[in-house]
Amino acid sequence: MRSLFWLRFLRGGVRFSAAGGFCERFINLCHVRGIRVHDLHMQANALSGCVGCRDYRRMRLIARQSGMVLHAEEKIGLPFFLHRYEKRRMLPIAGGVCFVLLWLLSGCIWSVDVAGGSAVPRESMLAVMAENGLRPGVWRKRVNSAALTQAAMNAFNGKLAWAAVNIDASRVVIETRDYIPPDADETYGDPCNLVADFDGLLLSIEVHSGKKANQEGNGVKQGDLLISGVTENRYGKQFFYEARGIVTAIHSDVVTLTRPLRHSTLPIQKTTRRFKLQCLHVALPPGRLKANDRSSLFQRDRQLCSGDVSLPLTLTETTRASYGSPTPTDEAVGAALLFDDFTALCHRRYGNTTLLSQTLRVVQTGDSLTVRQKARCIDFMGTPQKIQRTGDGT
Amino acid sequence: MLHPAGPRRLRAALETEALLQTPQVTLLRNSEAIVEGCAGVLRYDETAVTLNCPPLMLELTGFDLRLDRLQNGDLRVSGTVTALQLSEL
Repeated sequence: MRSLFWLRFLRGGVRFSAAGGFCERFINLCHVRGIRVHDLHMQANALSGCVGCRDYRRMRLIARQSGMVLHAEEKIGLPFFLHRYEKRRMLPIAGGVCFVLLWLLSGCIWSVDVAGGSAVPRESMLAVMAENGLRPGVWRKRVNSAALTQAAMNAFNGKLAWAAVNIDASRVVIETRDYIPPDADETYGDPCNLVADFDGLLLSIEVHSGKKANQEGNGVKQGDLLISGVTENRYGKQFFYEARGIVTAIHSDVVTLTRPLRHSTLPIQKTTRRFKLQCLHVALPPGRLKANDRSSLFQRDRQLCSGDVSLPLTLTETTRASYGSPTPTDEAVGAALLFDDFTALCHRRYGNTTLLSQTLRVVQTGDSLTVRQKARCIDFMGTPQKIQRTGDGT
Repeated sequence: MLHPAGPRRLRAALETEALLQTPQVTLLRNSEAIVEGCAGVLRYDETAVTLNCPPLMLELTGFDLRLDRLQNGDLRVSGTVTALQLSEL
């Protein structure tokens, strides 16, 4: 049915309506004279249907013979469409040019994306690909996926476990997977003991490998044995392991931080922002911001996308910050900076511990301020200590 | 003298010709009817189509009936067919 529709569209036709007279005689005369009428139906006491262009002329005589009034309602099909735009000769030429351009440009690579791993920065990967001939604008037939994959693996040897260059129409996606080295904890290296790395009170000992050498509730000093890497079977034979486990202990800790109260800052006097649209090494508008010793430049690139597909357009935002003369700050600012640094330090040190209690003390000495914190906390304990083996193997 | 296969061929040819001249009606559910061997339309409106299919007269009743194609004695009627009646001319 679809092919019949297109055939009728190519041949062109007229949608007519015929009213009055004898519709049966009209239909029969059309049949006898070989006029092909289709979609014939009654609509508001008038006969409607479709007929070819040439048959419509012959049909007028039949309508007169059967006493009907024929009326062309709509002209449909390609011949009428072409006739309507007959004088606009540039239209098909422009259409043809568009088609050829589209066909030519669809044979090029317009977008290169990197997906997957994070060990290799996107810019580095794109630079390596550009060195090997893959950049927006190259012909798709000239892109050799296998060679590019090999080049990427060679360039980032030790960082990539796997890479693939996938060509999808005018888009290339470089899929990468990071190389993950075997976990150092999983390797059974030299035999060692696990000893306390600070003074404390043992809370729990969970042995993964080796033999428990201390009990929960015991107080330990730095260097005391927690888990032994030496075990003995019932016949007295010794085996050496790498002692591993999780040990927690309560201990006291002191954190001290000293900073001068007065600083000097460089206030930002003026900020200038410029946007550029970059396509195939052509940037619009041309020109660029320049930095001097009193200013700094910050640049941020953003790839434009249409849905999930990256377009070969990059929006570059450049910001120039011009600094004024150094300004000394007052003591309140210095104190605020000190407490910010102290908070960050505490966060780093006590990130994995549970604080039980803490005492904070602030002392001002001349132009400097000192913060001292005494804390009692639950922390992970244990550091490996290599076992020194004697010559006889024990 | 006739060829031994002659009468059989002749009978087959006569049967084929008779089959071609006999009106045939094919109904596709109740939405379409294809009539072969139709000599003309006797009556047509939205609810009924009466066809001259010698030696019979075929009346299709229904609603929203359309004559989609009429050529070389073949006619396709689409719409909703509710009844089909045959009678002698």
